[in-house]
Amino acid sequence: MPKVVIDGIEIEVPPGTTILNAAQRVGVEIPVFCYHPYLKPAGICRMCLVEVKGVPRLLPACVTEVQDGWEIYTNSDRVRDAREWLLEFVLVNHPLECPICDEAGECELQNFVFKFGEPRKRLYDEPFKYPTRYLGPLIVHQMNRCVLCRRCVRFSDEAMGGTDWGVYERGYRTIVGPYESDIFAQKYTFNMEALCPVGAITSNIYRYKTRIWKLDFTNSVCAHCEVGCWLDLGERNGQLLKVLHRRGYPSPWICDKGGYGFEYVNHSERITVPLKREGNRLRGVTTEEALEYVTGRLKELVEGGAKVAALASPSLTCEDYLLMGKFMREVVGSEYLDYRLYGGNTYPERSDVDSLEDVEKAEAYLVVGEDLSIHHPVLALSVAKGCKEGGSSLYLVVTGDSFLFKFATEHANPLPGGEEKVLDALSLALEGKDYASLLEETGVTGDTVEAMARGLQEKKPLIIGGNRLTPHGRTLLKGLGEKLGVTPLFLDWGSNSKGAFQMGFWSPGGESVEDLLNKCVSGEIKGLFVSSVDLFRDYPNGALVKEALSNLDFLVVHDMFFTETVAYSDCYLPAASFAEDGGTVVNMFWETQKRNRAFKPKDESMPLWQVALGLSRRWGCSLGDYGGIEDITPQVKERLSQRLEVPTTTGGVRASHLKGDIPALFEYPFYRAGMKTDFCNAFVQLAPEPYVTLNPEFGDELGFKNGDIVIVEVDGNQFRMKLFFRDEVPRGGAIVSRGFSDFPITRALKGLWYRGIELRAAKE
Amino acid sequence: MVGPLLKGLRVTFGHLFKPAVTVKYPYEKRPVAERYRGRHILKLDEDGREKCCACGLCEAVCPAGAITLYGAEDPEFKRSDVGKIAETYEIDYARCIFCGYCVDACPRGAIIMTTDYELTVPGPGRRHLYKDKDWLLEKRGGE
Repeated sequence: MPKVVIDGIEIEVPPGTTILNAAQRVGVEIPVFCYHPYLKPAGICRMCLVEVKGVPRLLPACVTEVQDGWEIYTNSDRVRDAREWLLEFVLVNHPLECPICDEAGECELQNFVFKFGEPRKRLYDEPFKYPTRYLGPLIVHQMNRCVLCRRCVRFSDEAMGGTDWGVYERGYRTIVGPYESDIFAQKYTFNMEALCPVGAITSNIYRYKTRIWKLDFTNSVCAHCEVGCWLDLGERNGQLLKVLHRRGYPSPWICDKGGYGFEYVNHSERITVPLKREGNRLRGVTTEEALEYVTGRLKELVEGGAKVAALASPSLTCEDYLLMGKFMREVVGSEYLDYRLYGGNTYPERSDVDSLEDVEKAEAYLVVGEDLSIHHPVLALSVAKGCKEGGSSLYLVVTGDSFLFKFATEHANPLPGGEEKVLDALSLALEGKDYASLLEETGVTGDTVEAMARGLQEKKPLIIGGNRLTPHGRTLLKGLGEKLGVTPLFLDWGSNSKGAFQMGFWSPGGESVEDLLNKCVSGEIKGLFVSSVDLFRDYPNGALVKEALSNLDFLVVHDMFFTETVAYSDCYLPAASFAEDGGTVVNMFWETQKRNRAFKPKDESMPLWQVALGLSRRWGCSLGDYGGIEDITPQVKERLSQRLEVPTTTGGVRASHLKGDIPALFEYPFYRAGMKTDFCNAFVQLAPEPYVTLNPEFGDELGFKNGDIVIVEVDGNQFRMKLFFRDEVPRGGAIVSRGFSDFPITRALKGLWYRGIELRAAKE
Repeated sequence: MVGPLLKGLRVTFGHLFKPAVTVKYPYEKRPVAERYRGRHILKLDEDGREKCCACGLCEAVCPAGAITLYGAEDPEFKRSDVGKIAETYEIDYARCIFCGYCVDACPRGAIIMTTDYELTVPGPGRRHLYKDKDWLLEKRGGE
């Protein structure tokens, strides 16, 4: 092992270590712009030059590997001189607008000039002036401030697999930025902003609002999906203004939903007082009155022999599920609970994958039934890294994948509803049986399946089963896993499905949400408690939801905004957002994480566990002596360590499309896929209205043009939408967007996110 | 015994013939020093645009924590020549100690202190002592 001396400190490092990494080990600081621990070293900025005894010129520390016996000086006169010169050159064209720059306070250039620079400027030429580019609602690009470290470009190339972001021109005229796009929003844009060491890329959402040193940062966990990225929530005066990802865990990168999808917390339309129905109106009341009213009505129903059910979003904390479950079971005496409100009748399952590093290490991937980049974006980045850096093969059986297809070895792009058939065919192909008949209506060729089967047998794959899979699909995938000797990793909706399951927030009788809603229609269930979810937006059967809600005697909604579900309610209780309440969550690898409270809930809003406590107290029963969240957590921990028996579920419907129509998949656009994204202004601007996408060739066949207005007809329901051509859509199928609360697309669905649709041009 | 009494009376009667030092305050005002630190003004530039760019240095340096400000963008440069203005700017005069650090810290000379010391507010409570941007801003056309 090479032995080196850095500034008089001797250290032995493994061969191949760079000078910078060796210096970091002994705690010697070397300033860097272009180096970033999670990107490949580039040696561009020359900020890290150090002197090595016996070597005539200065060496860049971030790319030079140490040799045995080197004496390295990081603070000699020559090195200090070089740094001063470099900073002076950088500052020649830097606008020095720190007072108005949002990066000030966390700017590396500012810090380095303060530490290593000379307060002088000898070149008084007029600096280059580039216009400020507003690249959509997420980021602002100001080329004037750029120090040309190319971190953003390298991230775009290395992690995202190359997007429209690069380096143009040469020398001191070099420009970094997008070549074509006027709006730059590529699912992982946040990382480019976070990587920028200066203020060249800044957030448009946080733009000029306040200064970084005025924010109080609290470590918490993202509530948008179950990858469970740690976030730092920057709060000032009861407002969530900025999110950072300082901890770099579980992945160094996060997605835009985590980084920018927090605006709903401060939204002006948020209702923070309880409402009570009086005739046709909902009137604001005190919390006391609302809780009394709810308790009274529920008691009446229960004493009258009717049943009451509770439905809660899969993104709440374990504490919420635990206490609400206790309230329903012990006080109300009802076993009808559920959290699986995005459809599907599956329960979480364990796998042998423990972290994203394990995912990156896999030799091959088989991804089935979910566009990972929409619902588990960071997992998609890890898979992409495994393919790009580890050279793993990627087999996709996904309809309309929009990100991972760039890395795929074999991509089966079946027609909507055909994913499970291809899966069936794949498992038959593994056994060497005939599967041709299964592929008939899927649009996938036998060659693809054959190649996949061969590839899967060569390398041990990591099987990822997405949240679109029905119980039938999961069984198929488990069978396939058994043949290959691996346990699949199954993904769920929401950010805490696993926690909700573990807290027992489901009906022991095995009823699905559909069964519960049917019970509402039949009159068995007369009271319903809905928490933090708009059933009309997220449950894939709008007609059933409507019928069920209108048949109820009493509906309580605990939410943050006035959604359509609230319009049906008899009482509305204001909910606290994820930043306003702490708690335990369980991520996709069954790892327990702790959300912390960043600030107090606004006005009268309460987390669900407080509602459960308040209701039970007014009922005259006690759930236990809980003063705060920390009193509940020990019980949660105890429950989390148990292994629960999963009731077997059946698919009911096996996904297939209707003949004669165009099979369509109803999928969220990325920027509408998280919770409450209808109330994130930037996301609303990025995905303002629902649209339908077709394959260009198929669209031409049907006689449409890109950008046409079309009518989508399902069962007599007509929806007017814009039509776009996208290459990733399978030929012969369509992808219709959902997730717009003011656009009742769920009315057209029957419990699955697939349906046959008719398309025709809209009459002008 | 009479001596000290006369001595004292001499001072008393002496003042009868000197000009009075008392000022009839609301009607007459005493001149103040040129560099007196009175209430603040947010300056405007020649075009009538706000000089303050909401950099937050006054807020950071204020030892009494009297200043609160939030920035906003002015994309058309109508209200600021750098495109950034203070959306809200509040000084809590119940806290302000008139140290003048905010003036020192300001990189653009946007906040200055005037010689105006008349900060009496009507009514009880502190609410009247929170001064917002409208009150602090130098009146257009010159006051």
